[in-house]
Amino acid sequence: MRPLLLHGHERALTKIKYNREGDLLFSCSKDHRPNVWYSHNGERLGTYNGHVGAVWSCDVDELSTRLLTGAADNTLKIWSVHGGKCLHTIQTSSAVRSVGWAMGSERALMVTDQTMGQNSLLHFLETPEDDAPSTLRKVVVSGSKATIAVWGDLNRYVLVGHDDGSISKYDPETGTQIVTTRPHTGTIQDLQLSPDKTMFITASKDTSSQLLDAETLRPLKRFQTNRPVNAAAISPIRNHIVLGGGQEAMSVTTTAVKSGQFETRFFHSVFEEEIGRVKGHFGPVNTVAFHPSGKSYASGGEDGYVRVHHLDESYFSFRYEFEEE
Amino acid sequence: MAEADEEWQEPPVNDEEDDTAEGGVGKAVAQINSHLLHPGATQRDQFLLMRNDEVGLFWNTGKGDPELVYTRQNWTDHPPVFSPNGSFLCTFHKQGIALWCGPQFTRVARWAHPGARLVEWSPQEGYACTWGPDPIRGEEEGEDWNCAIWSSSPSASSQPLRTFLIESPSSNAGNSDGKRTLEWPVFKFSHDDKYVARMVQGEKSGIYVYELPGMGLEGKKPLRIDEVQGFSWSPSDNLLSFWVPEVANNPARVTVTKFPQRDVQLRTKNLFNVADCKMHWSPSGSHLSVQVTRYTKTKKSTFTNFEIFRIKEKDVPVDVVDMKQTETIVQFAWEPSDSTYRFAVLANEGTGAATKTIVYVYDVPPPTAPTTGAGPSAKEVAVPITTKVFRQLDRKSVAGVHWSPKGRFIVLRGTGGDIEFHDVDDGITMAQQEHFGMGGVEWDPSGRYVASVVTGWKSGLDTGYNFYTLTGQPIIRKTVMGLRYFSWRPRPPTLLSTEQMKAIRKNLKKYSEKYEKMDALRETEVDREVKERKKKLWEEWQAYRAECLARVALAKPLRLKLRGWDDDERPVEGAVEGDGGEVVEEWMEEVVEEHEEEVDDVADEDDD
Repeated sequence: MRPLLLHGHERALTKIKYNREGDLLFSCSKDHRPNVWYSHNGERLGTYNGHVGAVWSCDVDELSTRLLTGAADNTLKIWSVHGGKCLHTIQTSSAVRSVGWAMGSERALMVTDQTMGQNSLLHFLETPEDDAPSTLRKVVVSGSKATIAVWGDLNRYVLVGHDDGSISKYDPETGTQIVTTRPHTGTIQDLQLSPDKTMFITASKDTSSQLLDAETLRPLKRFQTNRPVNAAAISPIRNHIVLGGGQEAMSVTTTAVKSGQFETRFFHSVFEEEIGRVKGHFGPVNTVAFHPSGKSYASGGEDGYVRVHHLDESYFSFRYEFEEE
Repeated sequence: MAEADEEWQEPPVNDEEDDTAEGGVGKAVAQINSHLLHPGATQRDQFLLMRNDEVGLFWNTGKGDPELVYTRQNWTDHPPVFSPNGSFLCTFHKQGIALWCGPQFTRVARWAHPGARLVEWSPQEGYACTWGPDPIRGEEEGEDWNCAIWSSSPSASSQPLRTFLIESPSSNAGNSDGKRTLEWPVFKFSHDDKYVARMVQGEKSGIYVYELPGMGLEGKKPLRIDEVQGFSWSPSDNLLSFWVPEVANNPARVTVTKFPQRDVQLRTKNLFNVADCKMHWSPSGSHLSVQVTRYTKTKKSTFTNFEIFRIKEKDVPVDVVDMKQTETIVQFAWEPSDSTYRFAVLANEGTGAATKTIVYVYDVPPPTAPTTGAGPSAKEVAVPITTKVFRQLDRKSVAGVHWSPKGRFIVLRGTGGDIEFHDVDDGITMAQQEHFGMGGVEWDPSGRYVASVVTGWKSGLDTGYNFYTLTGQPIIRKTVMGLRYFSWRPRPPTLLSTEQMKAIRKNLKKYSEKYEKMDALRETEVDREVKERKKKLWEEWQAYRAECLARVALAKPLRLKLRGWDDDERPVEGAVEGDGGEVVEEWMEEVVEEHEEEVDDVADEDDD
């Protein structure tokens, strides 16, 4: 099926996210305005105006009422999804790289960058629905700086991806590091949990992606490409994963167009085999997300476009020999 | 270092220093052809890969994935080199070169040449010459060396047969451009492993031919030739060809001489305005082509012609093939064939963006039997120009021509990664492929498969190799991260006579049936293995997921406590099985009929 091309951003996409029901798609980019779209037809509902720097990350709560955004203007903002109004702003001392709601939306976290003498910090926030948020705890990230952080199952732990390719687990109650491992040799660009939060997928600049067990951080599967991987998502219904990446934007001009490989790739998560590629972006793919139904997925690229792909019937009928679902 | 036995009859039973030895050096040497006797070897060839610090040897299955034969980490510092028949593998180490052979790649020899970087094997694999950039201190003054001749015989001592100091290119004074690089090989072996020769320039210029294995100068004196510029052995006879430039009023000369009968000069040809000569012997030794670069009258530019010496004919007639003045010769390649005598010439014409490449294939008439007895000698009768253009292919840009090792087919390697498969006999392009960034094309020794390879030193992103059939049909595309080196394992020349080969060709159906059966059997076996592996993966995965789901189910009360609801209570839109997707409602308006009607004003007023 022809993909929907969402052209609402003027600069490179940084993050796209579906809400829990999958009817809305949130996108943020290096321009300063996050967008929200109807995922089924690509119609834009509105923008969230207020940031004055590149927006690095966003997350929508499970009830689709509040949106979190973190930006290079050293702020985290909480928005009303419906009205587009900025409810609260938290000022930080460096760029906000990653944001995320805890299960139940009463807690949130953000990662701030290690720049200008600032440590890379994990901020744990209390975010009552009808009151201003407050910072519960700031944790200095030990070792390599954090690039992404995600709440784990039942808010028992937080998964943190690091610049050196390591993954660690933090206790949100005490702020201590529980365990750390280094499955990758390059920056962790993305970290997404499976819908049941039992496992997660990584995307790394070392050109590979791995599936790890969320409880033990045991590597389960590995997916090798030949370009930096910027984003990875797990299909909620099939044993598939989707990877986005490509030649880094800064080195694109020095290489031929053909060698960029700005495709999203599908892999079988059990057999680690590539099963398909989808072309379209004319720059690296920075972010990918599966629709919660597993029937479509979206990708956001350095080219400023979001592409929403409704998967074909043949995708769903395709089976490996032992695969019965 | 393990002492090598003087007597071959009693090889050491075990080489305790070598962890890969299974039965020791003797057994390995006894099984030197094990890879050829392997049941899979009848229809398949091996290839070697070096990725990062790992060397792997594989069978090319000709269909799907290659089969691993042997792999080893940190085996060698530099890409390893096979001997010409594929018997030995040379690996490079700080201490020197190690030789490996047999099914388990047992180390059979160590050549103590610290820092050695280059190896040149003799055609029969009996000897090799090694070279390294750094001179090695000799036992006595003036015995420093950086080049050595070794015997590969298992009974040979671990010492070199003889060592030499080859002047390094930088100290090569008297060269105006100063860019002169080492001309490798420095030592050239005769086809029968009897002699090894080296050219010396300067005061004592000439060709120094040493007898093997004694390494004494043949006839106790060199073949003195003033100003000698280059030499070459015939690949089939003990013939030497060499050339000297124009000196004073003497013209340049190309000479073919018998060896060791030094005074029997088979043929000498005088040439004028010569800038450079390159000698190319045809693979069967039937012809010598001399690529002569000459100055134009103004001496401002050069042009090329080829002098084809018809070695096997009486008085060695010479054909002359002239190239256009505007053409620059990039490559010359004889067709590897016993029945035809053709060569390809790759020429560039024009400059900059307007450059185009022309691939010529010339056909040289087969040698006629030398007529004995009376008759006009070739010198008296003008030799008719009989070497003709057989094919001319005009292309945009070709970087290299690669003949099939069995002749007839050529692969044209484009500069941008284009690969063209061409049948010279029929003059048709069979297929065109592209392998982006491809730096090399390698025919397998059987001439049935072609590999295109992208190698890179760690930085390379798309390193890997593709296999094609000889007609250009792709077989596999493999990305190999950190691929540094690719090489087919060479095979020894066939033991069959031409008649036997003809007989086989006649009954090809009978033979191919047998091998197809073997192929099919192996394929089923491979299929079965793949299936089993996948089944195991799938079962493991199922078990893992069941465990996870059980854990998730158990945690339901915790989720309810945390947020007051659970996922199953709030289904995701469109997630219901059987839901074909989004229903989009669209209103369509269509005008069926249109007509005007008078409405009286009274009605209007009533409405108000």
